Amino acid sequence: MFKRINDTFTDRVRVSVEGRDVLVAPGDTVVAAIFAAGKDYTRISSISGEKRGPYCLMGVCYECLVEIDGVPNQQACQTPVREGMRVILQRGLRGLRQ
Amino acid sequence: MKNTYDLIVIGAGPAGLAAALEAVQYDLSVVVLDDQTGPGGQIFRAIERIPAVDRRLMEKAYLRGKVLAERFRDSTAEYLPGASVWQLEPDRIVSCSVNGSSRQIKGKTILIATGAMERPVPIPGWTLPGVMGAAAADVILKSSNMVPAGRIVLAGSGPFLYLVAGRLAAAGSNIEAILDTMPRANYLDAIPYLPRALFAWESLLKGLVMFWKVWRFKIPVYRNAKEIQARGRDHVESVLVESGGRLREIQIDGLLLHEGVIPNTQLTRQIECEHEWDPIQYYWKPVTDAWGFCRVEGVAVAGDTAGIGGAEAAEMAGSLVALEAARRAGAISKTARDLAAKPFQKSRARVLSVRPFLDHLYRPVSYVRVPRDDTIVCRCEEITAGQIRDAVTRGGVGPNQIKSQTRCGMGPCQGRMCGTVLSEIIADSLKIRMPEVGYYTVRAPIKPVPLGEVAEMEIFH
Amino acid sequence: MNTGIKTTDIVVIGGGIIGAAVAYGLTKTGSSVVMLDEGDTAFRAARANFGLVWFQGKGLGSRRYVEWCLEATDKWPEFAAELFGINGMALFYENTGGLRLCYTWEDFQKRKALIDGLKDQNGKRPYDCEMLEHQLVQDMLPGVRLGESIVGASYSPRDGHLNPLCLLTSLHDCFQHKGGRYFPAHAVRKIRQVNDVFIIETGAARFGASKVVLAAGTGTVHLASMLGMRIPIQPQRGQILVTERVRPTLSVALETIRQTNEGSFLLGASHEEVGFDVHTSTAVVQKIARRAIRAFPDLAALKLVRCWGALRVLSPDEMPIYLESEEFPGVYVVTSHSGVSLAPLHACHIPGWIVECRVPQGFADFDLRRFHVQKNQ
Repeated sequence: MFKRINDTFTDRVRVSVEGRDVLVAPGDTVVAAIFAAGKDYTRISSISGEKRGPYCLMGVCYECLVEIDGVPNQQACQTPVREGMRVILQRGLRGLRQ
Repeated sequence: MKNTYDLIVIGAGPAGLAAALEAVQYDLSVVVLDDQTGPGGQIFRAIERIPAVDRRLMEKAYLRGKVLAERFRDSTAEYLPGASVWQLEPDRIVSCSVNGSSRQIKGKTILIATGAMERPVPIPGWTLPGVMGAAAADVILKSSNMVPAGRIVLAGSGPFLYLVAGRLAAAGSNIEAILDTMPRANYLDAIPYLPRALFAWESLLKGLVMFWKVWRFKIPVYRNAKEIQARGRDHVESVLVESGGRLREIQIDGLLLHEGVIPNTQLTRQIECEHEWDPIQYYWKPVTDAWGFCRVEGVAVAGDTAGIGGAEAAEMAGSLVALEAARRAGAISKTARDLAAKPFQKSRARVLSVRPFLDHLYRPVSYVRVPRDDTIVCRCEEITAGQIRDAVTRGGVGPNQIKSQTRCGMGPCQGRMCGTVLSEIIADSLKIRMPEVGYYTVRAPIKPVPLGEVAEMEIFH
Repeated sequence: MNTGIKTTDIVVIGGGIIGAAVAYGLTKTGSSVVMLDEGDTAFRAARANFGLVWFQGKGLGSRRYVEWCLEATDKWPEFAAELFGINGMALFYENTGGLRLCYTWEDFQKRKALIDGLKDQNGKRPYDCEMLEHQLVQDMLPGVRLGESIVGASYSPRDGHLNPLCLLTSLHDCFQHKGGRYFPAHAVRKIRQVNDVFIIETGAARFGASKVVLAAGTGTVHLASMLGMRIPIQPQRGQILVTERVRPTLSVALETIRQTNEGSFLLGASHEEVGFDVHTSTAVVQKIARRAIRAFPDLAALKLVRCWGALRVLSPDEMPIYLESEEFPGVYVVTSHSGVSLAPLHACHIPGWIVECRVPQGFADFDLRRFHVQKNQ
């Protein structure tokens, strides 16, 4: 849904989104990695089963909840990327133990 | 890091940074708590990361942020990035979570400078992936050099809509159209405020430049746009709009909505500041005195959180709070404070003289403030305006009752996206005024915090 | 302002779980009923309820109360079905069985003494509650890891839980469905008797009724004083924590931890004498969090999303107060801190008592004389 316009941000960080590796820049948030992986939604609603994607990108709407390194319901837009990070879309409710 | 400070600043936008810089001049101990990883807030987002070559995409005003951030880094003010403030207690104890653990610190003065949020724009289909706020596109352009792919439409009103359209077009986005919802009658309403607005002529000039940039890219603008709806299955595929008497459907890959910005009052509500309803721009803002202080002892609000005024006014307001904080800490006398305040007060008044004009010109339209029955109002719990109206019919007279009955406002966003709309629907249904309707009772934690962190946190004493 | 008087058979003052249950039950008697309620920011114990339908542990010292509680839990499934039959609103009532955890051996012995006392009090009739040690408790909770330090618990198969917000909404809905008239934002300022009619004045309107029910929670004290009654109830604050939603994991209701139908964990509870202060406090929130994590260590990873405080409505012996005014016959007081558990009885026995003068057996145990007896001793 979003594409990078140039390579100004150097230094690539490897992040895995839904099992697929993408390269992003240090300082990018996880949501940029999700966009770079070609996904336009971050979660499946536990209420309606619909796909939901980020809306505000500034930490207000809580739509961009994903599982990061085993911890569910993290705001992708508020989390900076780290080398080796594993991101999985939030499908419905989390379990008690992950 | 210490346990107590003369001034704790929450938010690292222009108000917060200016307050910190002013306060250290008087040798106050200052810490700025920022939920972002670098200073600048939203308006100067990622200012430290933007390399020189990208400046051609940005305006001069944005670069002011670079100066502020540099001076802030050089100052003696402490900076705590990645800090999520989840509670403020009446004796000015702040609970915040950093790097997986929560701590409490106390301030002689607290400055809430948490800025603004984009007004949520509930239209049918707004929960489809691919529908976002215009500010979202701006944020990811600044922080990650990304633009929306495919055919994009922007819808709403206000100079920021055009600003973003111009920026995205300059960055290579395909902007299919702008759907401008501003009713023509607003021009007439705003004219009486134009003479006063001329005192802040640079703001007006900036606005004209914004429109010129959009015109330059030959983006079609549909005026008096009404009945906007997003359509699609798993993703937004088209947008419907009525304009010039015609109903159109435009095939798109992304829709960006904007109907102005409103104060982010989650923390001011939690600490129980008094709030008043702005009847022109339809938003809640905290009630503050001339120095920015609210009715809770030692708690001040500055910048857009106190009422939308823009970055320059925010800096002035932050500086004024710092002066009063200095007086409270015994660092300057009342007379010295008043003297030092004069240039800030003068500057702020001048910059704000454009507001009545802009506020009247860009009053948000009623169908996004009081949406029709089939529109989702509470995105988190997926509650529609129709369900809310049913609850009102059943006897719910206020937002807290409706929340209990429908779960509207009980989701992760804690009512940030639905609160104002809910109150407006109640006011509209019962034909009572917004101040009478009120707003949700907001309680801590204002951001989710792991139970384990709460259990292990050392309580301030 | 409306100067006319709205007349009705019965006015119920209070729109919480007790007021709404009584009001709903009264509509079934064929009387015309008005329910008056305060506005959006009233104290409302109902909005802060934990949601337990609870039998175990209550009523040491009053066999009558134990029977009352038992009858209520027995009637719950039928009551839930009755409301559902009217409006199709789920209450998410589940008879899951209930556990009350014991965190130390001392706690366990103390609890055992209480349960044994209740068994003795019940005489020949079985008292459905047993003490279980750690492993047996863990066996009941396959989905969650029980904290090592938990010694055991008391367990009753009669206990359960429901969604209290749904219950309140449903009672209101059924009340209106049956022709009851609800007036929110009508706080009562004055009650007086003129000939045989009670005139109730709110800011917005006046009502005339031959019977009045005071079911206004902590507000009942002030209302009752207008009619010469001193009702000894005190507010007691409880704080509750709510976590993010989780897949269904905890299949039994615990006295201070339960998983709601939406998936959130509710954690309680505190018992604070702080007057009418409904704020939360970090120290108490932390204490509740710590105890919950001691019970189920995996809760530590869940995010806290909401806290609130509300006021329980407590009599000195924590039992209900049901009485008809002696000075003003026709005025009834109905107050209890177990509004949810007792709702089925508040919807049938209480209306029967009010309208048809069918006084339940042993009902006198619930009026004020029991306090005077204690005072004289």
